[in-house]
Amino acid sequence: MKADICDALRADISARLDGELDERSSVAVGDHLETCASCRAYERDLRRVRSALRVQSAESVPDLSDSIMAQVRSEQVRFAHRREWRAGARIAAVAAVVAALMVLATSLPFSERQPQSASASQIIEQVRTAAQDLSTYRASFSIVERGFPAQVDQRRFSAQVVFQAPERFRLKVRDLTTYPDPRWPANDVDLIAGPNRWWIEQPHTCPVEVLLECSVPQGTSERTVVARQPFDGTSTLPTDIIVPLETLASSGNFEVLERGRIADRQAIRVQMAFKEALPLVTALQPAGLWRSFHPLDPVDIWLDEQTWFPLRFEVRAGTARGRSSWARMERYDDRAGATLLEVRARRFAPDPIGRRVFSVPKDGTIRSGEFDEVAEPGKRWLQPNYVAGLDPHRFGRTGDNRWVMSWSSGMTWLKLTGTTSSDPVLPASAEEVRLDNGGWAYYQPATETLKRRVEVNAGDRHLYLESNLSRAELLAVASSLEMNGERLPRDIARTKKSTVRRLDIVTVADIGFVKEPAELPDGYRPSAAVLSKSKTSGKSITVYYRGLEAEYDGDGIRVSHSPSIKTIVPTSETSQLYDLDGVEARWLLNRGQLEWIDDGVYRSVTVPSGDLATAYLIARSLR
Amino acid sequence: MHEPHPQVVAKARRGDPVAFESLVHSFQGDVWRLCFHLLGNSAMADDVTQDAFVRAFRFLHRYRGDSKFSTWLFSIARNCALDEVRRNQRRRKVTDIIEAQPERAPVRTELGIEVREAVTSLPLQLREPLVMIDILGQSYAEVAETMGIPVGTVKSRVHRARDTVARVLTDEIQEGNHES
Repeated sequence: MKADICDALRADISARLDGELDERSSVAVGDHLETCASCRAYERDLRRVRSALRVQSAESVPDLSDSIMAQVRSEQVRFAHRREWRAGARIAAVAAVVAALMVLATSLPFSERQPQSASASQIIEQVRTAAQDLSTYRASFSIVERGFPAQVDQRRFSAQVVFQAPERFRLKVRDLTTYPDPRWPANDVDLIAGPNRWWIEQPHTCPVEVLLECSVPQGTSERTVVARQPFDGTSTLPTDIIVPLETLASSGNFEVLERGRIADRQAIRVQMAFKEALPLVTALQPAGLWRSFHPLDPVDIWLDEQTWFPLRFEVRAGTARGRSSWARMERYDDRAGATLLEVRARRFAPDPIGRRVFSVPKDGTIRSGEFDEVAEPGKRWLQPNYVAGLDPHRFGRTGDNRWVMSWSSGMTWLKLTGTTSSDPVLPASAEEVRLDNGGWAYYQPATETLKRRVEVNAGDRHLYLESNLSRAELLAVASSLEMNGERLPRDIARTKKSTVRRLDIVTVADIGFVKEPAELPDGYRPSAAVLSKSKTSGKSITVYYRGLEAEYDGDGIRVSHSPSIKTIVPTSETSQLYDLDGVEARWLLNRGQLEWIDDGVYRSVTVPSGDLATAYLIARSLR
Repeated sequence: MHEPHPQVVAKARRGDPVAFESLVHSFQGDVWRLCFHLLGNSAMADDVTQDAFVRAFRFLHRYRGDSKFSTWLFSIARNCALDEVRRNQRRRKVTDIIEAQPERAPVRTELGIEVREAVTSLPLQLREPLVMIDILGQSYAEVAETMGIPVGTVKSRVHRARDTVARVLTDEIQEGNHES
């Protein structure tokens, strides 16, 4: 009898050594061990095995880092065109506390224009026009960043920007902070881009006192891209700092707060969430180490009313639901309402710029965009009949035998890539669109690195359009292609045990267990739906809701419904429980996913960048 | 398990090799140990460790932070190691290869050699959770996620693994006593 008890407890004895037993069972095992010599001996044996393995694990292992990194670097060259390398970190800010704005009012562009009206839709239209008209620009900024790293009260920077449309860009960021230890690296960043070549230099390391796992040597790292494709998203040109075209014209989710004067300029103050303002706020941070912001942190932008140049912008710590847990995870100690980033223009002017300013070095890690430029497009290259009034820019072929054509005007551009070699790889969330010419196309909004994209496929020909034109204009370009796009097969994947199938978005609402959210963030609407069926996990439907023009903080919102999942399985991930109008919902912080079971149907809402406030709002509207 | 700072992972995700190299420095030891114990051979562990990091770099853009970085990385390393095991099973038995290749000796103590041999002789399904828990210090839940099995199964498998190793060691000690 006793042997039976011992046998039954032995797995618990093992789990107790790992601290994986609940308190009650642990006490029960402890009580039993006090009375049972055989189990005590057994526990000693297991402990011996455990400690022997741990001792062994402390033995030296080979240092393979050099050979790993050599392979990684060659990998990087091979896969360069696939990577969305964005040297800069996610967010940041910089600027002198007492930055007096010194605008060169005598040399402003468009200065003969009348002050412009201030409704959001008119601002969008005028910003689009300004972006197409712009040719050269020079500006300097001061930046103050607070809350990172913890040992430094604030960091101060100066930044200089020079731009010549469409593809010449120069940025110089200098770190003016006094750090507690002179060994801390200055967060200095240099970026110079010409049409064919792009170069960046950034600090090589992070402050080891802040980031203990950061064990790389100090210094700077340089990288160069040669044979660069036109408007290559992997070698960024942060032009929103000149005219916030993407920030303002893409989302439209901003509020016009007031008109007033800043440094003798007539200005309009608008406010938006950080997730919408990302192209502007991160423009001065294409590399280096900067703090991050919560997606719903408010951003105030003061825009020059004549030129739409950003005179000043600020990011403040917001009060959205879930922000404090986000801040804990990111290791920030932000006071609600505190200004985390202040950027002020000190000077801006449309000065003519000499070519030497954009002389691009060729140092550091060099990768090739494998773009072979030609003077004229090939005769058999399929072109759109409508290019939104843009001028021809650069044409060429890539190393993997794609043809590339580009058009531009000022900051606005359009690029077409064509191939007959490979099959399209589209995310399930891409929106299926019926074009005016009757063909089918697949649309995706702009992201942090890529602009709006449309794919059209017919037979073995695949055309891929990318542009910072609006969605409507881009679809008009796609419709003018002399090629009728085919609809992709309904089945995305099919095996004996499972099926993943694209559904018609309009018919999804008719499926009994699917509910449509009554609340969605502005600009979001259903873009795609996918049915997954498998023998083991049953049936589930996922509906993708995506921004119309842009999503800078992730791949849209995903809502899943499954009548087959009956329980929420325990997880080791960081999670919190919330009351969802009488039902317990679990928030998985790392996934940005809120899940619950409602009338026998499992539902989950997944949102980008840990934005619990948005997830909660959508979830409530589904209850 | 010491997790990397989210910003280091974020930078590596964007393709920054400097950030990735710091992840290599932090995790190569544990990845190598995992490979070594799954494969039972140090030369193969070297190759598979390199392969695992190159794959991690290639697919890092898909890492969304759904799980801990270490769990994600170990899943890749585990898959690489299991691929290698399968490849070798197709060619010839892994044990033949182990005998055929010169072995670097990472373990100095006699007890260590016995333990290592005992671990290597375990069936893979018991060896995996044992290595991940006792050598890599992972939690049962993390191992469950990596292996795609319930936490209760992890608990019973790691127990069976320890029980088997303990029996082998006890037998060997007793045999040793008889010999002396």
